[in-house]
Amino acid sequence: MIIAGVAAMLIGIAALDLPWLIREKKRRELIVYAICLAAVSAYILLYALDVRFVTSLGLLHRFFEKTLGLHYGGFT
Amino acid sequence: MNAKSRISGLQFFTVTACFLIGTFLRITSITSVLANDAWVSVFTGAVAYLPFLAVFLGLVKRYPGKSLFEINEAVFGAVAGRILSCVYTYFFTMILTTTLLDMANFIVGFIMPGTPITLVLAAFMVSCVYATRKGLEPLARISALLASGACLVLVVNSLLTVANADTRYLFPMFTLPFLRYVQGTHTTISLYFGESIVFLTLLPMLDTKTDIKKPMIASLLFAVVIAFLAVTREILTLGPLLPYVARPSYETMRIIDIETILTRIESIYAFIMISLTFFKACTLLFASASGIAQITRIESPKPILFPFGAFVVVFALQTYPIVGDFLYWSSNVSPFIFTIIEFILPLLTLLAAWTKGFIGSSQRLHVKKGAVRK
Repeated sequence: MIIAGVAAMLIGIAALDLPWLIREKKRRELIVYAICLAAVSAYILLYALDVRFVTSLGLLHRFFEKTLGLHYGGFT
Repeated sequence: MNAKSRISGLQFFTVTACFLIGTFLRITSITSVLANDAWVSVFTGAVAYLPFLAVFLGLVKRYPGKSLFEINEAVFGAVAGRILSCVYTYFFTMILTTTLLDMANFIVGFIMPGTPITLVLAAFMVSCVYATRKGLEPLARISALLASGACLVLVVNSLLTVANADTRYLFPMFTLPFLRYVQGTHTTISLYFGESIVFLTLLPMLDTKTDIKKPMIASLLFAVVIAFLAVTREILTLGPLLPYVARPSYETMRIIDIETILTRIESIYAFIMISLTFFKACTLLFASASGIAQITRIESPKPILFPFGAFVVVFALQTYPIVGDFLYWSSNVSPFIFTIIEFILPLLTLLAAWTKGFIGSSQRLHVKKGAVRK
């Protein structure tokens, strides 16, 4: 419920600039805008469905720690 | 975001100082590694950071008035420059995400237990986006007030903790394995000082006459003094507990109790920390959005700030849901990733710029000699 409320709030606020972008025919801005909103919607949907996945940050963490072995080995 | 607004040299100093103090308030990554010797890493980190600061200044000197993203394209061309800008943009988004996550964990864990972290992140991000849309110049004006407020609180709180301080906690000194000092220094330069690479994205907003060398060095010295004061205060007050507490500064403030009249001082620290984190988040949000604007060739990052801010919130929710994992990442893995992006990439850019300049000048000399012979 909280997630849905926050999602609606974020997307609602994000839509503030939309009329101006459409009126001014800012195509590039609209594409970037659409990509960001699509990513937000996808993330929110997955989060609401309780689907946990490794983010790019988590992948970097694993790559540096497990593959390259670059870490200080243990929280002290 | 008003393109006409300009930041003066003094404002640039306060912006950098605020950012660095905001970063140094999260000193857990050093104290968990070096315990009572954490103060050493403030100095060794600052000294080790100097060559990297020289690299940043070298880039700025070679390309005055250009942002980091513009420098990338000027040195490596449109395609490779954009790829490099993507790396930096991702990096700034990564720092923004971890900064927000850290702040939200602090609020939910210490100030408002039970509050949904989603709500904290969203409310914080909305205020950050609102402030960033107003432009960096108003933020720069606020930074002077914030920096002086933070210093005042730090000094007053340090004086109030004198009654609970014990100099014996500083000893024994230098008894840890050498690798721990290397880790502490590495963490300090990459997680604390190195984040100042973000200031290279603000350069087009500066007054044309502003020389950034002095403000950068002054803010570095300022941050060293503040960090040393904060770390030493924590060591003297918390002693052997220091490596085991999640928020040393907050716990230090909690100890203050002057005749049961002056208590709950930690709320002032919380206020300062949230304000400085807000400032830091605004700067990082501006840097990330500017990077996206530069890569996608859109006129202004202003229209994408809200959707991008929303993206950062949901990205933060999926990243490190367990606080322990996040702390492990900060102290043990992130210094290596940060070093590549903060120091190796700018160094390569500077070397490429020098080589390009050298080849260009030798070609011009060759053409001149040919013209004289004719």
